[in-house]
This record gives sequence, structure tokens and C-alpha cells, in this order.
Amino acid sequence: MQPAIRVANLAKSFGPVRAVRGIDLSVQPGEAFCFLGPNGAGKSTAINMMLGLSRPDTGEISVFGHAPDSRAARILTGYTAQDSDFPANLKVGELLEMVRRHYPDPRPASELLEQFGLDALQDRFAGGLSGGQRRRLGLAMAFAGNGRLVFLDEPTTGLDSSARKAFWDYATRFRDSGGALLITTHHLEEIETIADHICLINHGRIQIEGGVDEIRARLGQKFVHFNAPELPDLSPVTEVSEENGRFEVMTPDADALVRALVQSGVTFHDLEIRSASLEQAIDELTRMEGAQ
Amino acid sequence: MTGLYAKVIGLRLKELFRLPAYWLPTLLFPAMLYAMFGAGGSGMRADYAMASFTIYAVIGVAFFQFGVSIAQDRETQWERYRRTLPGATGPQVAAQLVAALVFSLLSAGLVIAIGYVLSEPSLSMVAIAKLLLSAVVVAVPFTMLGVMLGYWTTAKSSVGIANMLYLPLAYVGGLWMPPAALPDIVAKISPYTPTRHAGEVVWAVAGGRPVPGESILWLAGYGAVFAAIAYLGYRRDEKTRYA
Repeated sequence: MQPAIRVANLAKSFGPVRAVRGIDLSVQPGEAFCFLGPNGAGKSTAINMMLGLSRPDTGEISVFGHAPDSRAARILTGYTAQDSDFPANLKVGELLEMVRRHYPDPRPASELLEQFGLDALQDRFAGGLSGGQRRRLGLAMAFAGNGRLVFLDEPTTGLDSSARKAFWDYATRFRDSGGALLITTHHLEEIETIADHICLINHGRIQIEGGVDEIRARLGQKFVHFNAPELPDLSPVTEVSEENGRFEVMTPDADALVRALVQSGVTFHDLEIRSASLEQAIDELTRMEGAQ
Repeated sequence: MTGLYAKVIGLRLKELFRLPAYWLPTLLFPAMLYAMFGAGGSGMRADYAMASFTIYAVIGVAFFQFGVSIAQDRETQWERYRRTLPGATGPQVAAQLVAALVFSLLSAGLVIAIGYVLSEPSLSMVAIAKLLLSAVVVAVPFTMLGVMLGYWTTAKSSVGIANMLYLPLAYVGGLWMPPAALPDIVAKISPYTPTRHAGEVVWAVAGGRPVPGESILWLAGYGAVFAAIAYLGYRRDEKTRYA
């Protein structure tokens, strides 16, 4: 199957700053791909190139086999920016209609207005919208062209919890019907259910990458915490850290570790076992990769 | 894609008409200046004054419509988003051109209407049509100057800088008063300004004389220089924003 987007060896510098230094990735139809990374990691630079808004120094990008700034690619692509602004003197319905007209086979306006909670706002001027309303209009535009690849840059910023849920439901249906999503976000807990593939970029490079299940398996480790005067010989142990006499032991088998801890005869107290959330797991993996 | 051009052009006009702070001064200012300082009298004198203020109106639209709106639009996220839409450039450029044309014709039309109320011009309807047409053609180099300003000024500075150029150019070029009535020093500079040559063209049209070739050359030269500088500004903007 042809990937929705394929990026090979992508690199770009701004003067001496090497913003992106060799990224490879591909997103398949029917896949939700999460592109993560701290601010300044090179995410925006990479996305600008994938959207055909800027040119790579080296490397290749293909959107369903087309150059990213080609008309063919743009027809198949939708996008919502992180801070959408709109011409203040145009109405919600007018703007959405104008965006739809750019595409040969847009989604019905009535469906978009309803799905993104814009029904009652059709005749409102864009200049008078709240942050959440602007966000919803931006999201409706991203899906308006009926594209098969949609870029969502921090899609839920400013949305209340019910709008968030409605949006993720819509995005999930889009994904399940064969659409490809490329999502950036800082809210990892929100994407745990939708993300199929996660890619964490730092200092312009991909640092951690894998399917969510795979990453969960890698990070399906537990954290065992306890206070003790010293650390006995334990196994199996992935990693240990200590702060003020309290140890944090990462282990793939918490049961075995606790048995070993008891048998060691060390006087431990305040034992606590936690599993890692996706967010913790990614933090942990980032730290481990960084230490290498 | 049905009616994409019509939609984009229509919304551009709606957007501008919904902003009285834009269209009121654009339409009324030239007509007001004309009523206060230019209108009156009859015959040739009335014809020349009307011609002067007609291009003053048209040039103003070319200047502000392109200059100020480019400077303001290029700084927005919306402009960045628009670029990700398929085939967005053509309709956008068409919308700018149509909006400039509509507003310049309205603005010039108001000057001409006032001319007929306050003075007794001798121009026939055909001559008026020729005058309007020549005003639109003469506005092309000023459109380039507007585009140039749009790319070399910021959203905040563009209005001020546009006025700083537009008002003195109109005065020195002899659009507010006949060149013969200008103070000596100003009269010496006058023949080197693009507005003066724009004036020479429309005065010739209004007077039924052949259009002076020299003025056409001057305007073409100015237009080429403005276009080149505008292009450099465009390239610079593309490089910083979308390189």
C-alpha cells in the first residue's frame, strides 16, 4: 500500500542552527501517527516541510506519491495550525464555504458544521469567536476537503472536555475509515487511545519511535519505590535511581523484584508499585536514550 | 472547485465593504479634497481639475488596497493556512485585482459625480469613459509601488508610510493644483515624479490631445523599478517565512 506520507533523510538548517537533521518516517492510510517533542525540537520545521510550506535542504517527502507543494498533494491533505486566526470580517459559514470550494470533492458543509459544533455559529463573524470556537473552525477546515491525510497541530488546545471528546471521536472515525492522521500534541494522555504510532523528536532527530503497543511493551515496566538504608542486590532491574534514601527501581517483573527485596533482609518501608503512563514511559525512555 | 474564483472574490469585497474604516476614507477622501480645493469653474479648467482628482482617487486605491493589505495579510496565520489549500494563489490575486478595480472605479466615479454637481465640465460621456480607462492604466505603476510597500513595510507601519508617500507625491506631481501654480522649488522637482506623468497622461486625455510618449516612458520606467523592488521584497518575505 502506498504510504500517505513518506519522509526520507529530511534535513534543514537555519544558518548555523541544524533544526532538522535526518528524519525518516512514513504514515500509512488508516494510521494515527503522533509526532512528539519539546518546543524547539524541530517539529514545526519538519511539519512545514511536509506541508510544502518550506523546502528541505536535503531529503525527500512524498504525499501519496506527490511533491508536498503540488496541487495533487494539497487536494489530498488537510491541515489545522496551532494558533488559527481568520479574517475578522468574514463569517464562520462563509469561511468554511470558501475553504470547501478549493477542493474537488469536499465534505458536506452541514456535516462539518454539526460535527464541530458550529451550527449555531454560522453567522458569527470570525473576529468575535472565542479561542475554543476558533479552534473548532480550524479543525472543521482541516477535514473540509475530504483529504486522506490530515495534519493536526495541537488540535485540542482551548477545547473544553466535551469538545475534546467529540473531536477525538471524529478523528478516530476518520482514522478507522482509512484516513491518515499526523498529530502533534503535548497532551499524551489524550492520544493514548488513538495513537497507532509514536515518534519523539529531539534536537532535530528521531529519538524514540514505535507502535504504541511496542512502546508500551518497552515501557510496560513497573516502578517499585521504597525507602531503605541501602540498595540490596536485586533482579530483574532495568534502572535504579535514588533520592534522599528513597529508591525507584524500574523492573519488567515487579513480583519477582519484591520477592528478592524481602529475601534480601533489608529493612525497607513505604513500598509502592506503579505502572508507567504513556507520558511517564516516554519521559523515561527519553532519559534513558539521553544517558546513552 | 465550482465557483472558487467567484467565492474568493465575493468574500474579499464583502470583507472590505464590512469595514467602513477602510472604504469610507478610500471613497470619500479624494472626493472631499476635490470638493474643497479642486472643484468649480467651467470648461477646460474644470476638466483638468476633475481629471487630476480622478487619478488621485485611483492611485490611492492601488496604493492602499495593495500596499496596506499585503503588509497586513502576510503576517497572519491565516495566510500561512491558505497556502496549504489547493490552487489558492490564483483566486487570491484575482480578488486583490478585482477589489482594487471596484474601489478605484467607485472612488473615481464619486469624484466625477461631484465634478458635475460643483462645476461645469465640458467632457462628453465618451471622454469620461476614456478618462476612467486611462486612470486605471496609469494606476499600474502605482499598484507596483503599493505591492513594494506591502513587502517592505510591516502591518503597523504600512498605513503611515503609504500616506507619507502618497500625499507629497500627489502634491508635487500637480494633482491638487496645476503644476503652473506650484511654488518654484516644487515645480522643479515635479517633472521627475511618477504622479506628474500620470497627470500629464490624463490631462492629455481630458483635453483631447495625444498622450505624451515621454510620460508613458517615465511611467513604464517607474513601474519597472517598483516592480523589481517589490519582487525583491517578495523574495525576502518568502525566504524568511517559507524558506
